[in-house]
Amino acid sequence: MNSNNVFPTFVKENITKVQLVKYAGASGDYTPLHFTESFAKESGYKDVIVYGMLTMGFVSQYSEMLLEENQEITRITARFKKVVYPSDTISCKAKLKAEDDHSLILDIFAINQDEEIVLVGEAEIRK
Amino acid sequence: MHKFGVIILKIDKSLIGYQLEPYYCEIEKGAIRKFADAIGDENPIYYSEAAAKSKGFCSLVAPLTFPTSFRPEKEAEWFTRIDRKRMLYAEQEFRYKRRIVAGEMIKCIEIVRDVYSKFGKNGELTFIVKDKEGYDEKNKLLFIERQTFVVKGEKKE
Repeated sequence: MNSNNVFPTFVKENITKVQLVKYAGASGDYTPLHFTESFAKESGYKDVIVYGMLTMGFVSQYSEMLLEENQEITRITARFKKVVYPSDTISCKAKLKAEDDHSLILDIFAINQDEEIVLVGEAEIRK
Repeated sequence: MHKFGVIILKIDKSLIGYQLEPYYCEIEKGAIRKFADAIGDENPIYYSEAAAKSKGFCSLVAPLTFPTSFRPEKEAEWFTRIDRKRMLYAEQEFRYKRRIVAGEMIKCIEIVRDVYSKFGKNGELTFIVKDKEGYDEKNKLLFIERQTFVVKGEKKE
C-alpha cells in the first residue's frame, strides 16, 4: 500500500471463450449468454459476455492477495457497472477506505483496457 | 411467511419471502480446484492440502465466490420462467462467518428478500434480491450470498 492508501494493481489479461466454458462447468451456470453467440446477439450484445461472477472472482483473488498474515476476508461485494467481453483485459485495483483495530475496508474496482470501471465493490478484512 | 413449493409466476412483491426447500451441497476437492482454475486463481490453498493446512485450515479452502456453484436440483418455477435475454446480474455480496473447507456438507436455504421496480428511459426494471444462506453440519450459519438481479421490461411499441 502506498502513501495514498492505494494497493498495487493486478492484471488479468485476455479473457478467453474457453475460460467462459470452463467457468460454466465449474459454476453450473449454463446461461447461453456466456457461450452462444447467436443468443448473445439476440439479447443485444456484440458477442458473448463474461460472467459477472467471473469478474468478481478476479477481484476476490486479488483481495486475497492483499491479505497479511492472520487476516481474513469476511465480506466481499460487487456492483456490475459495465459488460465485459472475451479478450478484454481487466485490472483490479484497491484503496483503503476505513480501518479500525479489528478490521479494514477496501474499495475494490475492476477496470477494462479502455479505463472504464466494470465492477465496484468492497472487501472487509478481519485483522 | 415462508412459501414452500407454491408456484409463483408473476414477479412482484408477492414473491418476497418465497423460499426453496433446503438443499445440501457436499464440498468436493475436485470442484474447488476446477472452480479456482476457471478463475485462474493460483492461490495454493485451493489446490494443495499442505498449503491449506499451513494456513490453519483442515482441508482445501473454497474460493470466496464458490457458493455461486451451489444450486438446487430444480430451480424455482418463477426463476426458470424469467427470459434470460432480459435478465442481468446487478449486485452480489458474500458474507462469511468462516471459510468453507472441502469435506463439509452445507445446507442451503434460498429466500427472496425484496422485489422492487424502477422506471427508466428504457421502461420498467424489476430488481429481485435473493439470499442464499449456508449452514454447516452443526446448523451454524456459515455464509450468506446476496444476489440482486434485474429483469428488463418488455419494450412497449
